[in-house]
Amino acid sequence: MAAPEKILLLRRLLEEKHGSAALASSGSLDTGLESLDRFHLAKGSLTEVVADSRHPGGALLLAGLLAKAVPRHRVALIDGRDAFDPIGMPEGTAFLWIRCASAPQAVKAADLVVRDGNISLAIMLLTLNPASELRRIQANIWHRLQMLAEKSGTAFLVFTPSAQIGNARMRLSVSGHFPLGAIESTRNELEPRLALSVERRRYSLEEA
Amino acid sequence: MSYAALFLPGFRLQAVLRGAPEAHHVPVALVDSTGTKPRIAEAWAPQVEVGMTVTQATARCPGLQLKAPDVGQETSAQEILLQAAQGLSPFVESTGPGIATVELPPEKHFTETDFEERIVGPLKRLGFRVRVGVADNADLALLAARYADPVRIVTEPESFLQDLPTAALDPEPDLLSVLDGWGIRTIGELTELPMTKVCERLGSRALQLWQRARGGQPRPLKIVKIPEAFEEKTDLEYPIETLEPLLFLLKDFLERLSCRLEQVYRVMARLRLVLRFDDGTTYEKCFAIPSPTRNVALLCRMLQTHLENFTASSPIVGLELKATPALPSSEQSGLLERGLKDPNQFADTLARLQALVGADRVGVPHVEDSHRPDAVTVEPYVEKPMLPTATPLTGLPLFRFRPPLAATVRTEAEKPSYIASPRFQGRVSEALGPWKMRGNWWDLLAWAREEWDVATENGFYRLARIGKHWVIEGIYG
Repeated sequence: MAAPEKILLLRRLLEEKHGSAALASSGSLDTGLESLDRFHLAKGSLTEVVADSRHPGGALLLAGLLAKAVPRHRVALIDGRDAFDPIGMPEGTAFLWIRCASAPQAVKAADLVVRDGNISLAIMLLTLNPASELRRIQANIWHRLQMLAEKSGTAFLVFTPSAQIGNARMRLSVSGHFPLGAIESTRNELEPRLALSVERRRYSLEEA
Repeated sequence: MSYAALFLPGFRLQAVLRGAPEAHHVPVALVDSTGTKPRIAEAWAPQVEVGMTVTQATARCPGLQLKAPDVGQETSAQEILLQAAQGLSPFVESTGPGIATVELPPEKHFTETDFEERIVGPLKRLGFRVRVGVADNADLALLAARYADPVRIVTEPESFLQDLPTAALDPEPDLLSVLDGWGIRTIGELTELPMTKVCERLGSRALQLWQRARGGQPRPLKIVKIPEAFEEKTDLEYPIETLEPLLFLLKDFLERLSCRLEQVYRVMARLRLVLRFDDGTTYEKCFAIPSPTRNVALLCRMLQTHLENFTASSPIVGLELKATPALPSSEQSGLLERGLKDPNQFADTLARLQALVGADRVGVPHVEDSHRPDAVTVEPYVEKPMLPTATPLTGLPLFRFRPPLAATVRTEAEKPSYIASPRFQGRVSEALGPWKMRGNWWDLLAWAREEWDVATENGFYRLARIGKHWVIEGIYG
C-alpha cells in the first residue's frame, strides 16, 4: 500500500474512533520577509532555525524578519543570552524584547509568551547560549512549548547554533557566505545572498 | 405600585458571622458590652433570649459561642444589602439596620424565582441569609419579609395577616399586654373588633396599630444614594505569615466583590490592596486593570503575581481590598485594528516576565541618543507605528556578548593576528580597522576605544581595545 493511502486509512481510523474531531489547519503566518515566507511558517507550531556562527546569516535573518514582521504582527523576542543589538534597526521598531540571562530563564519566558495568546510571532534566540545549557533543555520541554503554541496559535521560531529540537514542525538552516567587507554593504544587498533551506519538515494529516 | 422589603434576620450576628459560614450551624450569640453587665443582644441558640447575661446564657446553652459586635462589618453589610436592592430598582430606602425597602418598577412583574435568583442567591454567596417580602405598601412588605421563607409575595393582605400574631405589628409592650389580657392574640382577632371601640379604650396608639393590622398605609420612601464603595476588609484573629492563606482570603474577597458588582452591572477598573502589619506599618498597592473585568481567576492571578515578589518583615494582621467600579466596555474593535485579544492576559504576562527577568529587561528596545557603544535600554511596552527608514540600513547585524568577553589578542603590524578567549581561539585571517572612538570626554562617563572587525575560521568578530585590554564585543551574523 503506498504511503499516501496508508495515511488516508489512518485518518479514517482516527475519525471513526474519535469522531469528527478535525485537526484544524492553523494556516501560515505572513511575515513579510520573502525568503522566509516561501517556506510557509506555520501558525501554532514550532520552527527551528539553525544558524551556525561560522557562516554568518542568523543575525541578518533575524533583523530582516523583525523589520518586516513587526509592522504586521505583535512580535516578542526572547533573547536567551541578551545578545540582540537593536542598533541598526529601523526607528520605531516596537516589539517585546525579553532580555534573559540563560537558556533555562529563556525557556520560562517562552512558556509565558507562547501561552499568552496575544502574540502572533514569538522568536527565541539561543545562538549565543553555551552548548552545555542547550543540552540541558530536555525534549519534553520542547514538546510542551509546541503544545502551547498549538493551543494559542502563536508562530514560534527558535534560533539555535546547531540542531536541537527533535520535534520541531520544520527545521531550517540559514547561512551566508560573505567576505569581511560585507560588513559595510547595505542590508538590501546582503539579504538576497542569504541561503535558507529546509532540513526537515513534518506534515500534518491534512497536509499529507 | 408594589414594594419589596429585604430583611436580614439577626442582622448584627449575620454581619459578624459573614466570613464564617460554619458558625451558622452552632449555637452563637452576640454580646453587647455597653451596659453595666455584658448581655445577649442577639442569639441563634436554644433557650437563650435577648437580654440575658452571659452567665445565664452559657448556663442554659453550654456550647454557646460568643461574638462581639463589629460596627465596620455592620456598615459593610448594610451597604451590601442596599447594593443588592439596587439591582431591582434605583428607588431604595435604608429602612433600618438589616432592612432595605425598594419601590419596584410598575412595568416589571417579579416572580418568586426572580427574587431568589437576583437577591437571595447572590446574597447567600456573600454569606447572608435574606428574606424578601413583596406587598402593595412598604410596611406590609416588611411584615411579609419577616415571615418569608425566603420569599413571600402578598397578594391578599387580609388572608396573610389573619393568622399572624399581634406581636408581629410591633406594638408597645403595654398595649400588647392589654390585648393579650383580652385574649386577642392574632391580627385576625384584632381586626374583628370594632375600630371605634378599640380606639376609645386604648387611645390614638391603637388607631395606628389598627391601620397596620389592616395592611398599613402607603408612605413615600426616603430614597438613599447607594454608596459606590465596593470594599471588603477584615482584621485577622491570627496573623498571616505566608502567601497561601493570604491568597485564600483575597480570593474570597474577589468573589464577593465580583458578586456585588454583578448585581449592579459593573466591572472592576481598579483594585486597591492594603495590608496592615503587626508592627503598625501598612502596604498599599493600586492595580489598574487594562480591560475592566469581574473575572475572579484573572484578578487572583494578578494579585498572586505581585505578591509572589513581595516580602514583609512582620506578619499581616489586617487586609482590605477595594474595587473601583466601571461600566463594562461595549466597544467593538475596528476590522483593521490590531487590538489585543485579551489585554488583561497580556498585562499579566508582562508582569510575570518582569518578575522573571527584571522590570528593566522587558519592554521595547530603545537606542539612546549617544555614540557610546551598546547604548540601549528598554522602555515600557507600548504599541506604536513604525516610521519608514529614510536611509537604507547597512552592515551585517551583530550578536553582542553582554558583558563583552575578555580576550588576549596578539598583533602583527599593529593588526590583530591571533585571538585567545574562553569562546574561541585561533588565527585572524583578515582584519578591518582600527576605528577609534571616544565620547563623554567632558564628564565622568568619558570613554575611548579602538574597534576592529576580524575574520576567523569561527566567524566574523568585533574586537575592541579599551586602554590596554582587549574584549570581544560580539559576533556578526
